[in-house]
Amino acid sequence: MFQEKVVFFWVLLANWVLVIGIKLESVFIPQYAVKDATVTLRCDFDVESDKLMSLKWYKDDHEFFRYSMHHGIRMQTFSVEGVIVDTAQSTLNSVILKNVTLKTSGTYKCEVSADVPSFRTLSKQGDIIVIAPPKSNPRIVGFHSVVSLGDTLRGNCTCDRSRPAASLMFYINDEKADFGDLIEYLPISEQDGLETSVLGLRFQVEPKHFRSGNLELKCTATIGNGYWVTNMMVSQASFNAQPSFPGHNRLLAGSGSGHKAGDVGTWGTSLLATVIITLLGYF
Amino acid sequence: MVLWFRDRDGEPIYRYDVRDKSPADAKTWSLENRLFFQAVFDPAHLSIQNLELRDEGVYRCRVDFKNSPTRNIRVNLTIVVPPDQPVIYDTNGIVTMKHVGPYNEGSDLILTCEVSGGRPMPKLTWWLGNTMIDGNYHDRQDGILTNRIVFPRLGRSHLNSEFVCQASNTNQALPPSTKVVVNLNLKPLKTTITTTDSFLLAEKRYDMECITVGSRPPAVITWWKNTEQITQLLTVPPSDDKNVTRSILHLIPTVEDDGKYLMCRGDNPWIPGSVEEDRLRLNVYYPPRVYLKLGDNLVPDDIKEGDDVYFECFVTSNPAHTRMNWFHEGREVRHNTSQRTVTSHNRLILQKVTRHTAGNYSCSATNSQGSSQSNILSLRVKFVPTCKSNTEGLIGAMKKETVQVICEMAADPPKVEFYWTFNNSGVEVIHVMRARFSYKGTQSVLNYTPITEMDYGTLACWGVNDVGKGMDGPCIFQIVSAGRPFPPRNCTIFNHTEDSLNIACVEGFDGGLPQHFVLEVIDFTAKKIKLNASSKMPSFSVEGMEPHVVFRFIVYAVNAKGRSEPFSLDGITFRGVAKLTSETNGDEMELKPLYAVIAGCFVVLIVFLIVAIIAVWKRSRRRKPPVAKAYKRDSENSNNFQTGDTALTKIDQNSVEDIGNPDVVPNKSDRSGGIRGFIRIHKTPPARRRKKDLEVKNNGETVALTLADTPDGELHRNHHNHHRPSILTSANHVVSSAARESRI
Repeated sequence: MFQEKVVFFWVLLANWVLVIGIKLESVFIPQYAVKDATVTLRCDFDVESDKLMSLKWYKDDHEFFRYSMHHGIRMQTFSVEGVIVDTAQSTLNSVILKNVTLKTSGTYKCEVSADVPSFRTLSKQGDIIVIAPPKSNPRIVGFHSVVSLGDTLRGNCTCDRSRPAASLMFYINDEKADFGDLIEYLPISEQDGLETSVLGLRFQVEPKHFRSGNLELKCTATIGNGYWVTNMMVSQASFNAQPSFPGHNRLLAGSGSGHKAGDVGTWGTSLLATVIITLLGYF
Repeated sequence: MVLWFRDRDGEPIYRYDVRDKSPADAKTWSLENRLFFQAVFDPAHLSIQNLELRDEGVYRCRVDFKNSPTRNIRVNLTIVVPPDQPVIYDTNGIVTMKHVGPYNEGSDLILTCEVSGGRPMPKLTWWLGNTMIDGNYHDRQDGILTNRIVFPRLGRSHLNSEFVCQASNTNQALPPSTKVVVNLNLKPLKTTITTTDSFLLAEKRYDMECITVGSRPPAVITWWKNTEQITQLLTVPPSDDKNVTRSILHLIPTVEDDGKYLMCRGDNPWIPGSVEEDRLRLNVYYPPRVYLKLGDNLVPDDIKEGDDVYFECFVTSNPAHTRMNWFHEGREVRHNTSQRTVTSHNRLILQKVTRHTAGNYSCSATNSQGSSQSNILSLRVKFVPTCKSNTEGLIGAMKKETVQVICEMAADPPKVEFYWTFNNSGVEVIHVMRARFSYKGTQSVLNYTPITEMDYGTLACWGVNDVGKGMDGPCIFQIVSAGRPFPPRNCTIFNHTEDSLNIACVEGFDGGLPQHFVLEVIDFTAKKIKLNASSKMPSFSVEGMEPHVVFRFIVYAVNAKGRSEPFSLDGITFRGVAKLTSETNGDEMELKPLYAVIAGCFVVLIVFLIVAIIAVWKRSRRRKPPVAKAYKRDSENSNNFQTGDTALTKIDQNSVEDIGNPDVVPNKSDRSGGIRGFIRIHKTPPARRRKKDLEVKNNGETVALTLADTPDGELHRNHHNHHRPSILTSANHVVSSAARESRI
């Protein structure tokens, strides 16, 4: 008991000592970054009684940015793969990385060191994951559009070329498909480092699946906190054929209006914006 | 600039500042004075002296360059504290010596290893040689690790093996370890009797060797004969090889050992039930042991003539006997069915035994080791009384003369009851009263006195014993009327040489019994009998006489009743001395002075010449007697012949005829074949006996013969014949008291 108290006392004393020296206030490192976007890293500190000797940014322990105070303020950058510092925009407290690529992903650390006499050094680090979103919504393929009760419905959902691989999920009438009806596949690695995800669904059509003669299939693709949706309507054969909406897509996180699968180019910017907003909101 | 950090950010533990300076002017600072940075070395390195536990951690070396990217290098420093020396316990407690045990072969080895200290926590392992045999240890939670092994069934190969307990927590240094060397008690592997003679000779000394291999400590070797331990005559020679124990038994095998098992047991007394043994069947060679036994169903004292008898010869021998022999009275008996002797297997079968079969029997058996004689068994064959052949004979008796008739029987058992019969006609048989004779054992004596002519005849003596009555073998006695013989007559000397002469007489009447003749030559001066010879016939030949000695020659006849008067020839000398042929009829002649002798000699010589001429003339007128000189002893005819140096008896067989005694008819068949030894006896009329003899004999006891069978007790007498019917009897074996006396 006595020893514990002594230890506790020393911890308090150490904190007090630290308080009088250089102190890292906050370090901001975004968790996700969309490919080709610009990332801002922030490192806020308080030198207090110390004199700042240097501020360094490391990616995976490799120094790519230094702000040293010896013989005057001096900013230096060093070449690290996947890291392009916007030296014009970067300051002591914020470093701007432009045109992030998949290789920009990594562990980023800000290290500040005081000069003589303490040479006290503090650092904080965080991981950045660079996301390459799919260029289109997931594709629902293989399902019959008209089925009878008792038929087996089967088909796949594919999300092409993203990084990291999207997580796919089927919904039947807005309910998650039974785990047992899902057929999982490993992601297909593409040559440029992107991955294509595929998920299969196979189930027997029962009366409960139909609402006024129709069954709605939905596939969602999720990367980080962004996701993409595709719907499909399946009709009951005994009903008079009703016009279905093949290829009806809807981005739930967005405005709620559906878009055609083919209009990637039209929607790319708004999608990207939405994702970034979402990611920023997360932090 | 170089900064060293430990574990975390904050102040570096060491700094090396060469900003705007040459390395020689580097500014250094360290948190503790145990830290030294050696920047001039390649690679540059931080030294920490007197490492402590708290020095452990991740060390980061940050090198700031003026124009190059900073480099961070991290090193993880782990402080290793070696464990203490492991301690080993066996079932008896802590092991302080290098050796543990000894444990018995086959037992389980239980060892516990304990270790304290060490950081990180060591691995506590057991090793046998280079092989880890147990890696399971556990933390006793009091700072001590233990590892207990139960090594099952220690074997021979584990002797002196090293069990090592190792406490290891780093490969940076040799781990502390403690080892024990296992000492074992080992069971004997094999016991062997190395002596392998195929056979042993009884009573010979053999050194039997036994070795036991593999026992540790050395085996205790014991020897056994069947179930009996041999504790004597053992030697334990030293062995060069510790693995081998030897023992030598000085065995003197006995016959009884044959077939027994000689066993050698090697035992390690420390290990119960560790006995290894070898055994050898003793094949002891010995000469046969022979035991003779009368057939099982035979009663030894109840074998009679005519019975069948067998002996069994029991032989124990090794090797088996190859020959069996049978002996009777020391002479070998062979299989001979004609003699009713059969040998079969181990039996000697004697069929229809006779008294001659009786006697000592033995058997012998032979094998390669020798021959052995059995015990001697005496076979007794009982038989009915039969006359001993030499007791039969002719007995002469005068009237009223009592003669003792001795009947000697052969009998078994020898307790014989006798009875006598008398027969004088060949028709009637009269039993002799019991009171007249006595008997004891196998002999009976009858005093017989013939009173009348009728009392001469045949006496028969019969015996009865337990076996029965000897119907075939009575003793027969011819009682004949007899007296002493008459003296020989007309003895003449002829062929008188320097040292020899022949003398021949005419035999007189034999007295009714067979007679023989005796010549006595007496040294007249010394009054000593110089020579004594006996002959069937009254003719003698004397040789080798000493000169210048005056002899008297006397010749007389002897029969069973006594001797006759002698016929004497006096003054006979040899070498040029005149011979006298005067008949003196027993009167002794006085020696005269020498001159008278010489004068007498002339007279005698003249007379002798005249007489000799007449005698020669007379003899030549009769048939000339062929004189056969026997220059060797004639045992057949002169049994009682005695000589000084070389006395010869002249036997003249034909002189009986020459003398021409009308009363004696010589039996030619006696000597010329037929039944040898028997002569025909003719009764001589009592009237021709001399009265003098009769008077003498009549002084004896009178024997009255009584006819037991007839009511009046009178003897029937036969008066018809003076001449009895001829009876065959043995002339050579006349036994009577009188005859015996005459020969003494």
